[in-house]
Amino acid sequence: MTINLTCTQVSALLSFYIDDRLSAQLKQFVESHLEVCPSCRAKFEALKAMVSSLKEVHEKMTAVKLDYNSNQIPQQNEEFQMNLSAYVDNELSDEENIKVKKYVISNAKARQDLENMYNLRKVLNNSFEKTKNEAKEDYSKYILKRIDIQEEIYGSDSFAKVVALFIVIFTIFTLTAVIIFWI
Amino acid sequence: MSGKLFYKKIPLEELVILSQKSDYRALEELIKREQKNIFATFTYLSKKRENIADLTQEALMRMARGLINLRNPKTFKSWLNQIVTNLFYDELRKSTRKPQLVSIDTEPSENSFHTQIPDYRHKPAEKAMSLELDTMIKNEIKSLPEHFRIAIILRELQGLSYEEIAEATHTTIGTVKSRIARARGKLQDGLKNYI
Ligand SMILES: [Zn+2]
Repeated sequence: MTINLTCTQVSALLSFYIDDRLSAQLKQFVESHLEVCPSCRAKFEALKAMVSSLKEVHEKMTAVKLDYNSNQIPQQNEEFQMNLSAYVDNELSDEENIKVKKYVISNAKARQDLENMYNLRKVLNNSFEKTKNEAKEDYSKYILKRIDIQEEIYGSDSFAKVVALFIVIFTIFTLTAVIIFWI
Repeated sequence: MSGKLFYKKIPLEELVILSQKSDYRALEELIKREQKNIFATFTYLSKKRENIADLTQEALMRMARGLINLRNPKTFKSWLNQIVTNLFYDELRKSTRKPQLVSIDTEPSENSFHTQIPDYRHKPAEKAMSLELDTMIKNEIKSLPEHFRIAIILRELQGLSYEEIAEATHTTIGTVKSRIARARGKLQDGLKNYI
């Protein structure tokens, strides 16, 4: 016996279907509907993708242990300090990244550390911008001139070599001709 | 359109490519664009004020001359910073021969540092003065151990990735990570009354 489910009914059952919580019979009805209905199939695919990505994040979150030594204050926790620094530079793996986030969320002192890290960055960048703007010297003409001179020397040097070689060949040729002529 | 304006609007990467093709006006613009950045960088890297201009010129000269050998214009920034880093280490090598510039790579205890090694970083009179934050920052950076100093500069001021810094300073990514973290720790300590 087959019951044809409506799209609305299938929609309502989809998330149970994905979690595999339908009876064998109902599961079959859903499957036969999905086979013939592209719009429900699209819904199903989207839902399945979303659920699996959520699962992945969840697994990551639970797999990451809070193993920064929680007895230590963050300032004395070298591993945390090192990872916090790499965290603001966006240089951590996904897992380490989550680990830092979790610790920062759960620990007020760690949160203060993160803020200090961003403060330091801001101050350094301001200082650098100021120093950059204070640099008034223009070296471009000087550098271009130096390069020009070098190329001229190099250029005339190779030209001189060619001329010298030409003279040598010409001399040998003339000498040979003279000798042959005399013989 | 005036030529100057044209070059001013060209994106960096294209400017590099044009310069490689011996376009002197492109090279001129490239030097103009990079010189402030290089000068500022050496301001934090070099302990000797009088060397900054020379180092900047030398870096720009090496850039202009070496550009032809740069295969991938996309890597220009890290390539240029490699030049800066090499000059920084060259300068260190030269200055370590002179007795007054003792390398403070290891952190000496407050006492031994002040009693045994004369402090040439700033004159005692200046030290008593309340320094402006900017001067303070420069002094703190300059007093970092040299490997820490170059790492934090390449990261914070030049925006290089750990991988690029590792390449420029011939070390591992793990070492870069640790140097930067420790540099930040020291800077935060030194500047804690100011930030
Ligand atoms: Zn349907």
